[in-house]
Amino acid sequence: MVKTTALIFDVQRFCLFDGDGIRTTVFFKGCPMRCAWCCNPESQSFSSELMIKPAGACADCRKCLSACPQGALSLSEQGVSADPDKCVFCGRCETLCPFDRIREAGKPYTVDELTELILKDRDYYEDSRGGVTLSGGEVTAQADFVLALIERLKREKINVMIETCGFADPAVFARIAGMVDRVYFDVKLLDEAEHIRYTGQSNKPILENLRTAAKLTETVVRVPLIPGVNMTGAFAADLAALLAPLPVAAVELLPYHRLGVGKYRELGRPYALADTPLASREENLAFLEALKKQTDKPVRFR
Amino acid sequence: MMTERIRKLKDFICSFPPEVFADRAEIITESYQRTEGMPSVLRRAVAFREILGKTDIHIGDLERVVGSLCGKARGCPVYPEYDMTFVINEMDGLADRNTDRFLISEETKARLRAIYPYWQDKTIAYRAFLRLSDEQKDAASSLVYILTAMRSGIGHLVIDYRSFLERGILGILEEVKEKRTEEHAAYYDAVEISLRAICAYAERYAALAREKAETEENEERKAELSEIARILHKVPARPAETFAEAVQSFWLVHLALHLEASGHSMSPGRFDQYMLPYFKHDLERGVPVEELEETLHFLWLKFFELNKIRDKVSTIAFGGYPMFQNLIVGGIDEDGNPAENELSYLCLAATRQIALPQPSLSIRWNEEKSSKRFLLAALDTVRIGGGMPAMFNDKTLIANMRTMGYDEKEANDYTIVGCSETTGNGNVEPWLTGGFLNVAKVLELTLFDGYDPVAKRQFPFRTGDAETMTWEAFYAAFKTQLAHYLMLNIKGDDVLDELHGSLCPTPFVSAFIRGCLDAGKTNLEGGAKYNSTTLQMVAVPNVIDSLRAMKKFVYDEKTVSFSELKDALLSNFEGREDLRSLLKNKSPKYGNDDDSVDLIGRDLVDFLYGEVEKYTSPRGGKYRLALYTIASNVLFAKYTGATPDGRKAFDNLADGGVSAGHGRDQLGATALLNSVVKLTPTKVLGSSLLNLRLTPNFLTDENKEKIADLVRTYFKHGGQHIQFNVFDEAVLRDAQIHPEKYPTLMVRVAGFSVLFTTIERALQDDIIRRTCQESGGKKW
Repeated sequence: MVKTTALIFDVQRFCLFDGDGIRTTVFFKGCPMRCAWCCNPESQSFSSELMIKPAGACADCRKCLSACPQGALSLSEQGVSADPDKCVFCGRCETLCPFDRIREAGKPYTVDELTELILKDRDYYEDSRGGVTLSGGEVTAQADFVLALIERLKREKINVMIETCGFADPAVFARIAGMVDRVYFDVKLLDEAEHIRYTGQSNKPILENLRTAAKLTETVVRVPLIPGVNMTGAFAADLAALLAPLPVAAVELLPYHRLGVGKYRELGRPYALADTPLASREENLAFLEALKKQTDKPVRFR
Repeated sequence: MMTERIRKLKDFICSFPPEVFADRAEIITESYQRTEGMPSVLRRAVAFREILGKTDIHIGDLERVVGSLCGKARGCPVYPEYDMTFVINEMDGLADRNTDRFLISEETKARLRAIYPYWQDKTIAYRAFLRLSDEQKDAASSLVYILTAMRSGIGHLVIDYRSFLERGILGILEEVKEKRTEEHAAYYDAVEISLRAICAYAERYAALAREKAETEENEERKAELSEIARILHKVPARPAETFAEAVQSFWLVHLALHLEASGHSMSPGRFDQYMLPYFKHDLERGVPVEELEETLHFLWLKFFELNKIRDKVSTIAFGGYPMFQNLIVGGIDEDGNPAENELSYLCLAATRQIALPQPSLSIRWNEEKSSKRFLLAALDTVRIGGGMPAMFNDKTLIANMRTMGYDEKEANDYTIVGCSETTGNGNVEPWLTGGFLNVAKVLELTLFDGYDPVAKRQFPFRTGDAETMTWEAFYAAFKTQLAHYLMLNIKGDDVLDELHGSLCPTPFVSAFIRGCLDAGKTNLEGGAKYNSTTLQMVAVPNVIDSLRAMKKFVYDEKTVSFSELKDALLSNFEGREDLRSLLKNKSPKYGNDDDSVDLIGRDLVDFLYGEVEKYTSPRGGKYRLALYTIASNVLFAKYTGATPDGRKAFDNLADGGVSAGHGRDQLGATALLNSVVKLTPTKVLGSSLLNLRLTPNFLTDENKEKIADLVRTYFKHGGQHIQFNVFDEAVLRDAQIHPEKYPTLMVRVAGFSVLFTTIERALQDDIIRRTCQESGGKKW
């Protein structure tokens, strides 16, 4: 039985960096991995969450406190916080906060609702050879819904790409990969122990799914470059070796950034890489050059 | 390529502010004193002849294309016949004011003071003031509208440049002779005098060039001066043959338009079409394209040199010395064939290389006939950050031309005047200065039953206490107020229309507007083949957002009472930041592809269209609706109290015309564009103008094509126009602190570009605060 809704934490229109042409990117909420550097922490949990701007940003009007029917909100020196056991995500606080300081990350959408939203820019996709990119969170984690959505979009002749961490049931993954026009496939670490340490999951299904993706559709490998984690010569060499036999279209390197740090605060969670510095331009370039020397695939920054 | 000589000349003319000279004002005064009692049209022609015969002329050392308004580069004449009072009152501050500075010598001031008494009761402004009702004047001083034709000539048209390039002025004189009627003898005499005056003016330049050649020691320059003399002895009197002749002929006539009257937005129009034969002629004879390109660059610098002084208030609404000389390339020709050509590309490159705000470069995009390469070349010019070229959509504008009654060929040949106004090519008096109506102010007057809380003035036109009204009744009351002030504005403009026609007709211009020589009267008296007037609506996006917020909170959800809202607006949200934020953040806003608000906008546009089209001007042309602001939004904002969209009093109103309120379009460019096309572009016949802001790192090689496709789809959906501001906010902020570091930093205001450091602080802030379109829209 297909679940009728999926939990979506953002739909962004006019995206120019998530594939060809002008695209709409849909962010599915929930991910089986917990990468230490994740810049979208609100994408991880499979349930809705309240994101609340910290004290200082709040005008102290207390409208949200009195509005909450569950009494889930409280005010302290750190600002407003929500008791996750009490909050039922009714959305009243978000609606009432005049200052836009509270946001409910994760709203249920039906296939029809998402399709309608996506089709608003249909002509822009057509003229620019763009389309839709399904991202996350992890898109394959809400597989039934995603399959139904892709099927629907394909009926509408919309180009569909996905961005995936690759950690998925291989059979499910193969079904999805076989339906889409391109897969952006994350490869983060190749050493199994390190992979588990930094992402919380095994690398094995990921590598299997990478082979499947490359076989079934155009596949672009994406590698986040995290200082102190994977910016090593050994990783570059292992990566080149992994990709050598695979028909991968390109490798895109994503330099580390800290733009998501504020969101951890809004969710009341710690950021694991608080002490990790940004890599210099030269360091990023050095990794790119090292990889380029060892692979025949196109390598570029994104 | 920009040559070293062009770079030097550019540096030179950018190195000093423009200067005011008294020649023209003095000459016209003497002439008017001698011609009292003559028909206006003849007085104008005689004065024009005297001006062209006596005003100082000037040939710069580095110039190859010559002709300046005064005896110095960037010199600027005075036009006492429109309004002399502001000149006298403000001339002491001209050199020190924040925006649009002009040098003016004590001698010039004395000469201007001397002629002032003669003009006091004769100017357009004075006569208009006598004829406007108290209510019309009060509405103007409350900034419900601006009557733009009060203190300035009308300008705003595209003459038939082809006529004199091909036939020469002498050819047109033949036509005058053939068409002459006794009934309109004064008119034909006036045209003849004016046309002979331009030929004599060219001879003056030829003589000056010869004189300079005689004493010139550098052989190369000597030969150049002789060539300049040869050309000006030939054109514009006789047909041009070479590109240099055509450019010189074009420039001298274009320049003289600005000596006859003070109107701006005299637009070159489809330059790449009428100049092409001369360009090709030279290419075929082996003239190197580099030489032709340099000639073009000389002309580009000439466009930048033209100037006019405006009163201080006007410099807020029209800051940055804008002359709005719209030059448009591409599109299709009369017969529907692709029109872009090698010269079109050279024009795009000229603006990219010279990087000055004039001419106002535009392109016509035709989805069926234009090449993608052309649009990409246009985006290469956009990338330098000056906001040019503006892009216009053939599909919608040709259809709109047909709606306005132009035949198929004329519609295909449409052109743009000033900022973005759709007009016929050399066949219309489009009177694009009908006025700017502050729609947000009208909403304010509705909320307070005709009371203006800013000026503390009760207007006689009342629609009742809004407190007890339903949503339907309130919306109806707003429309009633809107219809009233629109009428008042139009009636005011009608007064000006008659005055300009009767006091300041333009026989010289009229010789190049089809229809005038047949009708025996000037374009300002209804002689043109087509006539219209446009009325500009300002702050419509703020009003749409305000109405939506009121509907939601006051009428549908009833969570805010009308009196609570009214009190908050009156106190400028003092102590009610919560209510202000609620109105601002929690009600849908225009620009996000949300029908619940966009369709209020559509309904409003439909209503405005119906109202404006009810009126006909004294010249017999219809009034047309337009949605563009120039920078009047900045001026209006200073007189408009808090609005129900959560905007604080005197805070900026929406720029552009159909751009969303600052920072309110949050879902990315496609959502904004989808909202824009809901405002029925086929009813906004005058012009609807959209500013879109991007950061420089956004318009990369990789993304350029995507932006081109964005424009194409928007145009397929019917959008009329789009222009891009591409700048880095940090750079503009730094330029506010260190203006001396950025003498030629160029930005787009509305339909025109300016040098950033020459405009008022409020307008600078307006530009900085516009929504920057980012990939994926704004992040929370």
